Amino acid sequence: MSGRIEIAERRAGNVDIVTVKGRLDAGSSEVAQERINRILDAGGRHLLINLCDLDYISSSGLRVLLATLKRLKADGGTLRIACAQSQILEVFTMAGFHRIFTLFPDEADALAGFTAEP
Amino acid sequence: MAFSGFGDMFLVLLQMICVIIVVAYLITRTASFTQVLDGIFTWKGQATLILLFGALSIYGTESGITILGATANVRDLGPMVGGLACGPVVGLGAGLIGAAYRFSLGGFTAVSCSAATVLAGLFGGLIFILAGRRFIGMHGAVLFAIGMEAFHMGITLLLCRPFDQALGVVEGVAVPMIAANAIGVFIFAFIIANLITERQTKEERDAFLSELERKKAELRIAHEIQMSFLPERLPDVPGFELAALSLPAKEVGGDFYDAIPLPGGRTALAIADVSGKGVPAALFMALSRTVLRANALVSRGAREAIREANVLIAEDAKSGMFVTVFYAVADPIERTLTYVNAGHNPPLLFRAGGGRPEELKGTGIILGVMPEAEYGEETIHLKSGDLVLLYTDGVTEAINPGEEQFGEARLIETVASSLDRSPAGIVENVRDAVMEFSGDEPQFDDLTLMALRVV
Repeated sequence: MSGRIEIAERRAGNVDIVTVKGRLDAGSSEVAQERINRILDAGGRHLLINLCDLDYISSSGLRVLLATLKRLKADGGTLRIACAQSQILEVFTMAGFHRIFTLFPDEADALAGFTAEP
Repeated sequence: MAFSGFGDMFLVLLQMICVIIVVAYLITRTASFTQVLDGIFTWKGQATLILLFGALSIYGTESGITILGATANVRDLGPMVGGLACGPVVGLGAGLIGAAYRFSLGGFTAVSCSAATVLAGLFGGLIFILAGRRFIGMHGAVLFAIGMEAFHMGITLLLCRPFDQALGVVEGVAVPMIAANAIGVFIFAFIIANLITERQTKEERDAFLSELERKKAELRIAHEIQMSFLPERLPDVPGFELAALSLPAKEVGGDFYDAIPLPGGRTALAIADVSGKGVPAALFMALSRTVLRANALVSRGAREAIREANVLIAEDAKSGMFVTVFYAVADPIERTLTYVNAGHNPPLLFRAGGGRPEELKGTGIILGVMPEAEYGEETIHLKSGDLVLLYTDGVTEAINPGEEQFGEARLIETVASSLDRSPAGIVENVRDAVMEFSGDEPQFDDLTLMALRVV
C-alpha cells in the first residue's frame, strides 16, 4: 500500500512549514516522519505542520505528530498545527490531541503567532 | 615451431587462445588470486602467482611461431596480466622468469625480447598502482597490451642489429603478436572483471540475505511477544457472552485485548492499539497490558484504573509511543457497562431493538502522552440482547486493491446483518467480510475484534 500523500516544505523566516496533503496513514507515515526528521536534524526548531488539505489521518499519523512534538519539546522548539478539516479535528478530539497540540484554523494564523514569539 | 603460411599461424593462435582461456580460469580461481582481489598481499600468495604467471610466460615462448629466427609469441601476456591484476611484485617476478627463459634460448633478439618481457610485468604493475591498487578493467588492459607490444617492436628495432634483419622480423610478427597478446589480455581481463562483479554481487546478496534473516527473526519475535500477551482463553463473563479475535499483521502492530475477572462477578474488558510496529510496539504492548491488568485489579473504578495506568505508561513511553485503550467494566447485577475511552475507535453499541448503533466515544486522551491527564467515565445501561462491538483501526482501515477503506459504514452493515448470531459468529463474520474486501491486498495492521452480548 502506498498511501497517496504529498509533502511540501518551505521556510518563512525561521519557521519551517511542512504541508501534508492526502492521507497520513500506516502506509505514508514513515515517509512523513523521515521528511520531518530531516528538517529537525538540520536544526529546524520552529515547525508549522499544515494539515488544511489532509483528508485522512490514522493512529500512525498521530504518532508522527506526537513524536515530532516530543522531539521539539526536548530541544526547546515549538510545533504548531494548522488545520480546519472537520474529519481530522474529529480524530484529534477522539485521541485527545487537541489538548496537547497548538491548533490554528489556517497557516496565516499559525504563522502570525510564531513571529510574535521571540 | 616453424610455419610457412598465415593459415597455419592463425590455427596455432587459436590453439593458444584455448590454452589461455583454461589457464586464465584456473589462475583466477586460486586462493592466492582471490586474496589479492581482496587486497591481501602475502609473500606466499605472491610467490605462487609469480610462478603461475611466469610459467604462462614460458608457455608463451614455447608456443610461439618462429619467423626468421624471431618468434611471434604471447610471452609478455603472463607478466602483463600478473602486473595489471596483482601488482608490480607479481608482474616483475613473472617477467623475470619469462625473460630468463627467453634469454637462455639466445638469438639476435634475445636482449630486446627479454627486456620487453621484464618491462611488460613492471609497467603492468605500475598501472595497477596508478589505478588505485586495483585491476584497471577490460578496456584499459587491452589498450595496455596493444601499447606494450608496439613498444616491444620499437625496442627490437632500436636494439637489434643488423637493422634490416630486425625490420624484417618486426614486419613479420608485429601484427600477429599485437593481436595475440591483445586477445590474451582480453580473455584474462574478461574473466577477472566477471570474477570481481560476481564477488561483489555475492557480497551484496549475502548482506541482503542476512538483513532479511534479521528482519524475519524480528518479526517472529514481535509476533511471539504479542501472542504470549493475549489471553489464551477468555474467562467466563457472568451475565454476558464474550468473543474475541486478533489477527496480527505480518509486520506486527501492537493490538491487544483482555478480559479480567473482578470481584463481585464484574469483568473488566480492554481493547487497545499500540502505535508503531515490530518489536518496540510488541514490548510496549506487553508493558501496557501488564500495567492495565494490575490497575484493573487494584483500582476503585474504570476511570481510576486508566488514570493510574496512564501515569505509569507515560513515564515509560519513549519516542512518541502511545496506546489507545477502550476499557470497560461490565456489571451483570446492575446490567451496566462503565467505560473509559482513551482515544480508541469508538466501539459500537447495537441495541436489541434495532436502529443505528451508538458510538461509545472518547472520554480522554490516549495513554502515554500526558502523565497528568484526567479521564472521564461513562456508564450505559444495558438490556438483554444488546451487543457491544469493540474493534481496532485495523478493521476499518483495511483496504481493498482500489485503496478504498473498509470503513465504519461497512462494519456496521456487516454486524447488523448478523445480529442473530452468537458473538463468536459475529466476530467471524466481520473477519470474513474484511478479508473478502481486502482481496489480495496485504494486511497492513493488526485486526482485533471483541463482541460482548448481554444474556
